[in-house]
Amino acid sequence: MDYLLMFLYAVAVLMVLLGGVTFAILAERKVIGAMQLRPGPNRHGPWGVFQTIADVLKLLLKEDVIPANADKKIFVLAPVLAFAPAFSVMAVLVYSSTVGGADINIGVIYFLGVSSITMLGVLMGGWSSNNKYALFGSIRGVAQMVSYELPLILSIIGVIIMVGSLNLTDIVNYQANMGMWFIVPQFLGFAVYMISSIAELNRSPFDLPEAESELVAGFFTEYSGFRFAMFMLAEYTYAIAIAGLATTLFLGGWLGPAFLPEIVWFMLKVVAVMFIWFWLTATLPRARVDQLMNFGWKVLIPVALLNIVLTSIYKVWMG
Amino acid sequence: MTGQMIFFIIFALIAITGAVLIIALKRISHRVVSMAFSFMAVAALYFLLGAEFIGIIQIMVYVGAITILFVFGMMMTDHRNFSFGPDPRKWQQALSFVGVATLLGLMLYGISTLDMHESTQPFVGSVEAIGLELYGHYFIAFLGSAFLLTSALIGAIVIARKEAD
Amino acid sequence: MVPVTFFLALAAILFCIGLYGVLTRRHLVIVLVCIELMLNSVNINLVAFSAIGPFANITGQVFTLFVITVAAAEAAVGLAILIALYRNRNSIDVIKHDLLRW
Repeated sequence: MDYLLMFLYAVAVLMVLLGGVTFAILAERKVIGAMQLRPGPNRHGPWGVFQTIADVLKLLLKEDVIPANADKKIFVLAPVLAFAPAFSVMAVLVYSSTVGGADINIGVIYFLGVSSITMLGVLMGGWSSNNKYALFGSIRGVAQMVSYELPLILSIIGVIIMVGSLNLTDIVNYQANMGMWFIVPQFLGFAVYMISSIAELNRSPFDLPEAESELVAGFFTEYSGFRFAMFMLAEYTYAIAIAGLATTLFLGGWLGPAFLPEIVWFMLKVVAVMFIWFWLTATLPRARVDQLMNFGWKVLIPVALLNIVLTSIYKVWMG
Repeated sequence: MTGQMIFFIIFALIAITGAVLIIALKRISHRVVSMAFSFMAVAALYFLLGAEFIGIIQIMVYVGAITILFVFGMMMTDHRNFSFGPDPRKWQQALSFVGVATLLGLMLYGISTLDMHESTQPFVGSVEAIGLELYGHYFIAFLGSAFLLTSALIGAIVIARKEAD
Repeated sequence: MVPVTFFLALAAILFCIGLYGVLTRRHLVIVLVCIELMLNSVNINLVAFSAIGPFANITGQVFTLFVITVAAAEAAVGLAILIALYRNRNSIDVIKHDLLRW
């Protein structure tokens, strides 16, 4: 019976996620379109609502091409390896005080640890395609994701020091007791988290692994049909998960005035975080590889370490 | 047959199959992927034992870092030809197979005759307990491992970079 | 609960597979992978004893952390040596690297 409930919860999350990803892609195109003074997709349905559904249908009906020189087994395995961890990190996210996944006491570390498997999918996808653009894309992607995982983890440590727990529910409850979201006392950590999460997600301005103008499509150049759709799904699922973690850690999770239900507050905050990413995509040009690496290692990591030191001093001082 | 037993058998089979495939497969990239699966199954066994923190560290370090490192090592060296021609060490292979099989047999015999009074209640180690132990009892060793990692980082860069000539 | 002997048997099997790989494989990357496998099987023993052994306590998990640290350092330095070897000798066949052999 327990197992059945777990299974049903996972299926429900997957369904909501598919809907969320569909509209996240539409929202990205609409938001960027509005910022660049053009209408964006508007052919399918009112206000272009069905555009993504049409795109997905097209991808599913397309022929599934596997290049003759590709390493077939790994080529088939890579999209799965990219999507499975992005979906399984949703298991620990807590959406409201009553709705949530596994309440394990290492939630944050689980999230970070499982999400690091995504890199293997990226590397395997690029490597097995046997294509120079795909290989460049995947090497860039892995270098970038390894480098920016460090500031991402270090920026979260400040929050963990203040709360004294790795459980996501505890973190939100602490913010409720403190009467303040962590974005105020941990602003440095929040800034580092937002910047490094953009790099971790391969989003513009750090979208070097899939830079269209240089590398065709980066590590999934050779993918077509539903495998390509799976890579896109993994990317947006991971984006939603990281936005959910940012909401829980820094923006108070489900906390908010009582005129809206808790889960709506959570979703509004996730949407707000994703809107900031779309905004940056529309605004900033792409960074160069050396600029990206220098920024990560020489600016973000020292700032994150400074944040940890300041938080520890505060914690010891206040007791 | 309890649920835990079923999960133990599944994960143990994945771990052993992955380990055998590391040795048996032809292509080096397939071998590295099967290594990743073997390590993930071992992490799942840690979860089964209630050592969640160690399980996640296992995934983070082995699957997230060491496998990537091996894939890079594979890319930077000779990966196209997957056999080195005839092996001049036929005797050594047979001998090591016999030796390892004997060792395994001895170990399994010893384990099967082992008589231990097991604690009925599984011990669940929380992250706090590990942290207190690490920063209390084993503080010097912890500092030592920090120095080890730093020196390994610097040493790896110095050894692997191209000579500046 | 799964008896602790099952975990010991699994660790022994993994250790022997790793040992056989180290002794017989010729690809240097695979030799390093097999060494990682052996270290991993030792970790299984440590964690199993720390969770369901006769004197279950936290020490086994702390030692597992140290073993993982050493394994990570070993993999990094090992691969660096491998790349330097490949650059100088243009081969990653174990048999070719026998300069120090008597």
